[in-house]
Amino acid sequence: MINYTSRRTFLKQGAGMGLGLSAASAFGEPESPEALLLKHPKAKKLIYLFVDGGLSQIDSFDPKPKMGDVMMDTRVINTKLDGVQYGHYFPQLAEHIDKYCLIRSMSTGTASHGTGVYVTHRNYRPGTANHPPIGAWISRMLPTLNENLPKTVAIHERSQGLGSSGGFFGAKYAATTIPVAANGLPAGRQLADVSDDRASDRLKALKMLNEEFYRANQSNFIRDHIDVLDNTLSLLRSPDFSAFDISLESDKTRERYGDSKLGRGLLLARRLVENDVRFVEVTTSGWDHHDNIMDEMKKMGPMLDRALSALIIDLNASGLLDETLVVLTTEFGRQNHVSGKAGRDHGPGGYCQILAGGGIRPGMVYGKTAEDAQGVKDKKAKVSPEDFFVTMAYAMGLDYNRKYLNVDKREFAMNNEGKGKPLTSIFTTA
Amino acid sequence: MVNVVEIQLVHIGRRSPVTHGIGVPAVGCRVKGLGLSILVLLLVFLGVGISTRAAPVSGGFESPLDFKQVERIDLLVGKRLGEITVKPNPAASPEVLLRRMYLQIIGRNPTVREFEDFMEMSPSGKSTFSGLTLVEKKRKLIDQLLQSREYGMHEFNFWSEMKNEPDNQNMKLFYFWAWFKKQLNDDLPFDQLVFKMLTETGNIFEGDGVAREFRQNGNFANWFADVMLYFHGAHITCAQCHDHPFDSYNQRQYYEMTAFLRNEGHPMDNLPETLPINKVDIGKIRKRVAGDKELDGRTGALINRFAFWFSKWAQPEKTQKAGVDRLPDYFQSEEAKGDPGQLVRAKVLYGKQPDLRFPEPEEGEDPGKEQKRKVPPEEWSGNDSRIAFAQWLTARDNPRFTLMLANRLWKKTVGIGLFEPANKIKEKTKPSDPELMQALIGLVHQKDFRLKEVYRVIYNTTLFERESSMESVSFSPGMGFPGPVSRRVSAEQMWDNLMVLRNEYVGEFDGEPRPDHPSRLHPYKAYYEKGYLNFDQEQLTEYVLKVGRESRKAGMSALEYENKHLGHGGTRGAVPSPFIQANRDSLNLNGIEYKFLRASELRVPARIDHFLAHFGQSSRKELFGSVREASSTQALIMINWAEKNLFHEKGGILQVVDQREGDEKIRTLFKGTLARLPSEKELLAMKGLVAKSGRVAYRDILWALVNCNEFRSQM
Repeated sequence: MINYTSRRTFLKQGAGMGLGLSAASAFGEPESPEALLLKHPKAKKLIYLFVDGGLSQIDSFDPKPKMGDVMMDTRVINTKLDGVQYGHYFPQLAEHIDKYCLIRSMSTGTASHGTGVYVTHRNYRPGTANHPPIGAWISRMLPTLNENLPKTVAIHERSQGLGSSGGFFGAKYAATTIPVAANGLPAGRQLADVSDDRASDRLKALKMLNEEFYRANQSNFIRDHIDVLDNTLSLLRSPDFSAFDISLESDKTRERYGDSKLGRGLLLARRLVENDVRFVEVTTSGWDHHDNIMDEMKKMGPMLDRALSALIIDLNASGLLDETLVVLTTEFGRQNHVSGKAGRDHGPGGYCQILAGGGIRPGMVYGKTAEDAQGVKDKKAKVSPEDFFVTMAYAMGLDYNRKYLNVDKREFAMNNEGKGKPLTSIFTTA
Repeated sequence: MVNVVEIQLVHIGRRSPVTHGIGVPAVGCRVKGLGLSILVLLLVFLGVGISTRAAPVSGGFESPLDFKQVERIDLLVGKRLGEITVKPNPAASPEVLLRRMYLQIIGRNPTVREFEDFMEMSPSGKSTFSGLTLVEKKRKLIDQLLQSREYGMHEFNFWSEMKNEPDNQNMKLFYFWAWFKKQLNDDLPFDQLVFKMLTETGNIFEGDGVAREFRQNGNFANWFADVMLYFHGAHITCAQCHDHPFDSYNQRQYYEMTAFLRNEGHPMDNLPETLPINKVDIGKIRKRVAGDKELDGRTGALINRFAFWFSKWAQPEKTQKAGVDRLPDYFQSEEAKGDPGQLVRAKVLYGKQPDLRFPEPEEGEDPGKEQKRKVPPEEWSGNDSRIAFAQWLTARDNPRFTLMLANRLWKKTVGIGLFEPANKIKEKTKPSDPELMQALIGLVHQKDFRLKEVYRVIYNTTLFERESSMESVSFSPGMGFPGPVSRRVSAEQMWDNLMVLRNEYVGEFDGEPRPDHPSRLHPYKAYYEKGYLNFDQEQLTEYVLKVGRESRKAGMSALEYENKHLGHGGTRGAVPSPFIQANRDSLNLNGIEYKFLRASELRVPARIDHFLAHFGQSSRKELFGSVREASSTQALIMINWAEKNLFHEKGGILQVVDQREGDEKIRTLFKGTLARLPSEKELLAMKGLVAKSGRVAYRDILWALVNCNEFRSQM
């Protein structure tokens, strides 16, 4: 609990000082502690892969073969790093472990999906404010890199809009949502159904109506709508618009990412960052394996393995991985025993997440879960969702302690009351 | 010195009348959390005194328009304009006024037929408004629209923002909102509506029991913060963790307020009678299912329906609250006394303390600590602190309740509140026109919190008839109102304007569940009506096993099987009103589908990728979360999706166009979208399109009209 200097305390102090004071400090607002900032942050863009439901650490990146029956059908395989083993569903990520950093000591305080997903995306618990998710912070704090495309995009998102929301920053900072990667930008294609001639007639008629109306009604909100329409028409005419079209990729490439929703999502994400979109979230759902986890992992593990490794390999080969942070997050891990009908229940004590590129040290394994897979072995290396959140901010050079006002004029920073500390040791340079 | 005004609050329903006293200190005392300027203002109203509430009527206006109140508001608006030497805006044209009335009262544009009826332009030459002056037509239309059930749909969009929703929204809220809409249409006085939501405890399948769902929000502290902010403008939530830094609430006061709704340290001994279903050992059924090779894991979902939802919904809540909460471990108030973990008793922030009797500790018990014994109900019987809280919050002479409401109604109509931000009252809060504020509070009181009656007065003012102020207007302390302020329509209005173009009868359809319509009966409602509350261990086991096995045979999940074969649907098809049902043969109902109903009849909030979300519907993550900003996604949807996907030749506006001849086709498109006729220039340009492209040009004109900025503006 932060010790909040009260208004009254401050007024006493202020009276004693008898000095002119800034408006902010006059209300006794706590001064922001200085954020750790990278001198030369490498990450300009972020691909945020969210595994929705709670990825089992035991069956993926932190198997516990000594636990015997608990492993059920999951076998272990060696990775490229000595002594580091994975579940057998992930051979390609095991092979390319030298290209990313694995965190094995994630630990969170909630075992509820709603809270967990919220905290992972927004770094706060659900409350009376609409906290911005990571994409909205990026949209608010960083300038665009490509005027022709949206700054932030969310692919395959859950209906609640945890990743695409603008939070209290509003719709302007919300990500453009793409429900189906293969279809590209929603409502982005159908203008083709109308001939160019008719499209041009439509726009002429619209222009006339808007000009007549604006002449008589010069309100700011109407001006905003005129500007937004102009920008949108530019987007539709821009050659960059093809960034949304994964059908332009070769069959071979599509094959490498896999014929899956996730594969298509990550392929689209790659195209978007190649075109300088700042932030792309891709959600893969259906990982809440309370029942039949082996059957599910057999299907879903290789799908994740294939898609994520293809993305990392491609970005590495093109050099874009240097300026693109790729992360895999999940709201929590799973329990160390078999429950329900051959499944695993929620396990928040210890789980795994991944970071790659954007200045992250490759081939590193950070932290260790306990032998029973139910917690973190070395408490000092424990990584909370808050730590992970500010680590992403740190990689991108964002001042995570800078405060912004919500609609109620309450202050919020990316870092939730200073709870998060960036994992500076996983970066190649300070 | 305390000036106490006794009032009689009569709440309808099972509850008997209760007498409740609330006092306000006389002028000169500083009241915690209450701006002095507001306080002085409010004291004037204490003279309003005692009033007897008439039995609620179901919506109809039994009395003539209250000209005295209309004139009073106009007089005060004029007086302020005179003081600041600002001229009122000229009268708006009948077309602008017509569209404004529709958008403001029922939340959508008039249809072509409605436009022609009011403007006396119908091809048949008939009009239900013929022979009336414009003012008389206006009065008549206002009354008609206020009595339309689309009034409830539109008001719902506005008032439902009072409740934030957890992510795991479930179907209970659907029933709650259906109930809520009905109360709006029946014009249940607003204070009684809030009182019910705060105090109802019953089975949600019966009577007003579902009103209790207002209180379900996952997290008590967040919910309480929302209630205090929405109804009292009190941003009390900061005081949960420390003395409020910018306002006068200290940390102890926060817990004294929450205490009204808590039993901390006082285990209750008044649980309601247990139903047979509550005695069932669900664990045993789970084991039985897990061990049965004929069943698959998906039968577990069926068990969950009984374990987590159905049995709980039918279970009345604990009926009373003791009025005790506990200071947190991090209690750190500098202003108030108290120790971390100490129990505190309910105490209101201002006004007279309700006469509550708290459970007394037994000899030897430390009153500040946990009580081990269960406190029998008779120790506080008749003193339920939750009811005391609801009475205090909604009382007529509670200064803030009516103030927040009156300002909200004004802002909704005119575009800017008499104080801003309209969401909260701070120490410095002062209305721009205290006399007008006072008049509005008096109006709400005189009309006994019946919103339709209050709106009826405001919509009949001369102010409402004027042209809107064009330039962006922001609040200033001494401002006046030369006319309403123009604004972009809300997300829901934008959607509804498209829906009514798609099918002019869309307002006749709603998503309200009907018990006589089995295919769309919600599963829990179906269970309830089939008497499953009386299932014992054996019966429930048998039911689960049977459905599990049958569903396996049918190759579907247990829940799908229930939906498809047992009539426990949950699939909501559009249900037409009696009017539509009676006239089905003579109406064009082409294209009514559940997903194309009015916004209020869809899932609230809409999915994140829905039109409504893109246009700024509140995500219900925080209060006042709706926005009206432009975005490129909105533009893309309107450019590429709306015209192509919503309109078809055989229904809606295009069908009406088809029935007209010559230039009248173009005029019809303007009437239906902008509620006006085209100018000469516009008509000429559109005729050019028709000459060039033929019939298809009407779609192009429709495209241009729904994309234009006038369509998305309320003038």
